[in-house]
Amino acid sequence: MLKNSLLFLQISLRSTVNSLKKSENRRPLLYLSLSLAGAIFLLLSYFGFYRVLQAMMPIPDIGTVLVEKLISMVFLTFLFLLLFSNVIVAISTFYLSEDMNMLMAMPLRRNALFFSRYLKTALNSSWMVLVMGLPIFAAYARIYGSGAAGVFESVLVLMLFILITAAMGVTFTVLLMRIFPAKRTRDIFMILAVILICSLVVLVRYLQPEKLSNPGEQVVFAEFLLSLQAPTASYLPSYWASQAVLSLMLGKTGVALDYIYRLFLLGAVVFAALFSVSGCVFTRGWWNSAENQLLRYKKRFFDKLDLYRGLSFIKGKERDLMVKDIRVFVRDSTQWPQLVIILAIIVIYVINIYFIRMDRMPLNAYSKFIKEFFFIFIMGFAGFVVAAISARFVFSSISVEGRSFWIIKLAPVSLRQFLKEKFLLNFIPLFLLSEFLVILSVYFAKIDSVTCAVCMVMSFMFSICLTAMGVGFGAIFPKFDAVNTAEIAASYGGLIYMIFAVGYIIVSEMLLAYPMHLYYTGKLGKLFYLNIKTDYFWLALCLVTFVLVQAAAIVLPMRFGRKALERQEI
Amino acid sequence: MIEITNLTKKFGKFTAIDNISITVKKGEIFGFLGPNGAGKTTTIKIMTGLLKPTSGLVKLGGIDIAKDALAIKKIIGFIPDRPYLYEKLTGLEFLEFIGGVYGMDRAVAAKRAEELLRIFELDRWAEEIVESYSHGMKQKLVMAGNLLHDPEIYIVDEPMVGLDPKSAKIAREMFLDLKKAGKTLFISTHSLEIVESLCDTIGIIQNGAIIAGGTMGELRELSKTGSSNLEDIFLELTGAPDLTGILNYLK
Repeated sequence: MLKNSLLFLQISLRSTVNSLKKSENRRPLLYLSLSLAGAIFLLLSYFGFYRVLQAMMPIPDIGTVLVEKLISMVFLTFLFLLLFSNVIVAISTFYLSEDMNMLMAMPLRRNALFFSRYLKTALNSSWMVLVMGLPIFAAYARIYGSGAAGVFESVLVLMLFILITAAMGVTFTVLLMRIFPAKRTRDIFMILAVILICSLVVLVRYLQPEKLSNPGEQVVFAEFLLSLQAPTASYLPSYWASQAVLSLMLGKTGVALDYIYRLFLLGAVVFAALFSVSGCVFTRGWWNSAENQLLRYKKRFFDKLDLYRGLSFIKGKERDLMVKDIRVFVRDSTQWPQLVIILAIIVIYVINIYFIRMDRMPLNAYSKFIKEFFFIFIMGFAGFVVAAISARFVFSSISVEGRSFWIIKLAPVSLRQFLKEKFLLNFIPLFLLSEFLVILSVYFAKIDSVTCAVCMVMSFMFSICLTAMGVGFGAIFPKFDAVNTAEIAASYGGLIYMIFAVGYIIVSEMLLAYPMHLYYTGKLGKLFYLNIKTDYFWLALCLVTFVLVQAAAIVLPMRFGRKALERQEI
Repeated sequence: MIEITNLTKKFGKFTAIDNISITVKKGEIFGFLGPNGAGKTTTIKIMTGLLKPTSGLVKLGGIDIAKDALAIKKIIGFIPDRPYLYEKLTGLEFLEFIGGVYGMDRAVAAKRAEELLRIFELDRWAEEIVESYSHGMKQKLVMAGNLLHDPEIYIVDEPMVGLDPKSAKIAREMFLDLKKAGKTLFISTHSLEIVESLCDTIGIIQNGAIIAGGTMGELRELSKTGSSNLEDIFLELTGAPDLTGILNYLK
């Protein structure tokens, strides 16, 4: 069975390698330079993580505890991330994938097919976590002096952890698809949404990030220390994996083996469950799903809306394209998990903003300024939220045209019009969302009007630039053969887009840091009658570069995207 | 109306189209024949702008595709062999969308769309999403989409694939009506019967090169078989298949 499963997996891998080779042959320089950008990002992540750990370690009493707490937080986040992405990916690899029709009709051992799909799901949903784990492990290995062996052993633990979470996610999906009647795909996604949001609340309450950012709020320091030392969900596999990694880094092999043994034990239980659903349960669920695709379309409230009239403020062919896109989006059930993810990201943001309420800070002469500076960082956080959402929707908006893209290529619609429509359609909701996040943050943080105005402008620029970058990168890296939209954001192009989006946010924040610093020190100067000199050259340089970066983030991706689509052969 | 001059298309080291030239006059139906993998679909994709030529010239309606692709898109219609459509739109919505992007008046497009759906017997399915259509129904919807914006040139790749006999007859009549209306049709097909009954001129492509072209009479002379049957001529020109191996295998 394992041999057959690996054979199936080999076919998938070979297809991926062939398509990569094909793309690289067409644009080797592009792929090389973007891979280089990815490598630089990983290196920067490593240095960033190392610096954080280096800063934490010497803190008296709590330094080591904080460093240990951080790795358990990382693994707990990985756990939730992996579980959810495995469920989403499993739905497409097991039930929506086109080749499944042919494979299910062939005289194949069902278990072999099932396990090959399981491995494919694990690989597709977890490779990013594995890649992101590398700089983190490398930073820990350097701090603890455990060298390359420490990194290697940690990667092995992470791989075991990934296989276990993938098995959990797949088993859950198979049961879900079996239990629910074919017509109720929507209900499945509703349940997923509820589970995800509940999990997030639990996750945030476990992590309690506000305690790390605001230890002064703890009534007694000892209580704070105790709360840090308490294990983060000690009965979850994420805790065992994090402890195994820590122990391996510290050279405590015995302790590490104890946790690895627990992971193996859990793995045995989870794999037994996976094996038990791989036969009849999976087949019946697959039939359910196949029947679902043959059902006749039932009109809903949305179909009665006159979208043409509603969008009358948009002129020309862009309106027709937009009406088409909205209809396709609303009816495409594979988009619904994406909405769940949006909701989840907003929930994380709101909970964090709520708990890091800066009006709870003790009042002193500096607190006002500290919280205003701190707010700029929160803007960065809002930027990341917008970027993550944009990766899910804006980046994938070109690829969701799918194999019907020939219609656009053939129609008398210029690619400029096509990209403009994608931009407009995505910009409006993204702008509303980012302004909503800013207003929410302003409400909780109670900041002054200038900082508030800066944040509003930044949020506006973030929405414009991230939309333009999403559309542009989506056009440079289209994935017209994607079965599920979740695959598009998780593709190579999606990763490159995220790297550039995060880079853009960091650069924009850095460029505004100096003008904001001048503003705050100016206020401080007035308060304490100090004469603070302004370096107008640096101020002008920062502002001009900021404007140039924004312009480049809008114009360049859109231009390169249009050229890439012009070259695109179908 | 259609001028293809010294057209070549290479995919890496492989030459899919090798220096071909074709001319089709206005109001003519041109039949493009050839065995599987001969380069028919590649030629059509270049004509429609879905692929870029390696070298050569393609002019449709007197417009060079390399210079003004957008102008060409306004005068051509394309019926592909595999009709990938927006699966989540209903048949009627798809036609409305086509009317919109081709700049038609909404009311006119809606009226004409309903009429076309009725002609192609898709009116019962007008409010169903395309996902639930069969291959033949999708093919008919694409044909309806093309007729909706009424182009000057129709480029058709394997028009009868997936069509039931009744729909195939409708399609055949439709092509003849279009010809009568002065439209130009470029039809790529394996069906020798279609070519024989519909086409004014024929081109036969093999291994990316045009090996024969002209009217039926001219092809008959060229083949030296003396046969009036296009199948015999086609097999003579492209080489009759050696079926011994297949028959031995089946035994």
